[in-house]
Amino acid sequence: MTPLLGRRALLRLGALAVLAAPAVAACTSEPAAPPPPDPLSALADAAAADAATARGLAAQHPALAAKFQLIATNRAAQAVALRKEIDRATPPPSTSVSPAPSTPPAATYPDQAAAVAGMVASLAAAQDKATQVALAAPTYRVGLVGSVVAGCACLKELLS
Amino acid sequence: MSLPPETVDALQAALAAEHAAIWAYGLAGAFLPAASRPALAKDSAVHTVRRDATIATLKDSGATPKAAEPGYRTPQPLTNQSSAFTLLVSAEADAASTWRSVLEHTSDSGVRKTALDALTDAAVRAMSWRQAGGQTPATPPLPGQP
Repeated sequence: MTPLLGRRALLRLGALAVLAAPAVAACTSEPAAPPPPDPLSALADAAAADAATARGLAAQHPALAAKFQLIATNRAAQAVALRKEIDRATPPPSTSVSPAPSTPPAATYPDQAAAVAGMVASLAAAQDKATQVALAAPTYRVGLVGSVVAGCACLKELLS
Repeated sequence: MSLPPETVDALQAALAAEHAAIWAYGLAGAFLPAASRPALAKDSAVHTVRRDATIATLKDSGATPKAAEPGYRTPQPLTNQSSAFTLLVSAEADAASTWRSVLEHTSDSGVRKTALDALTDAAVRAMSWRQAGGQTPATPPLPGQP
């Protein structure tokens, strides 16, 4: 009886198994499909885009600067809260901080009336989209999405 | 319709907030300017409808709906217009947060829709009263969030 040898043999077998397992897996199964996009992603992107648009409009239309500024602040805060939940549910692959999201496109409008109408339409669309997501969301994240719905309704009302 | 206990508990808390809001609207009226009366009457009526619907939902599920308290604590002594606006904002903020909690404690699509509507309505009314009372910011980014 040579327990040491036995253990070595076992280790060798184990090492082979470790090497073989991925190879077998690679030969016999399709590569895993990428995870579907988080339904909150589209909401976060829309919130960041509204924030960028509203920041620009606050500078262009002094009469409504306070309202556009609040829209910019609140939509940016919603984007941050949504991205935090997205990252919590599916942590970014590296341990480093996830890359800063690219600067969202800011919509521009010819005059103040068009700016208000455009912003209201964008907030209404965001509210509708968030409502759809909320009605289908799991209970652990539906509160956040519901608050986004309510937050968009308020900002829309602010301009009307 | 039978509802799980966590949904019933959350609905009872929302009902309590509706009872408190109706009480707050009744009390605040005496201190508000005439210009606020139409909004006061309209918003109070919405809370009454919401209260009655919540009572009906709880009864349907076999629960005993909570009764209103004889009185409630106010966020600050009610002495003038400013404290009356603060009372209404606080009543709406409480309603928003309890309805958000209902949302988080149900998978029933009907209850979810009701909770989402109630959360949204309360958030918009809270904003109107903040604006009427000159409070800023007019609305938080995520109404109902604890």
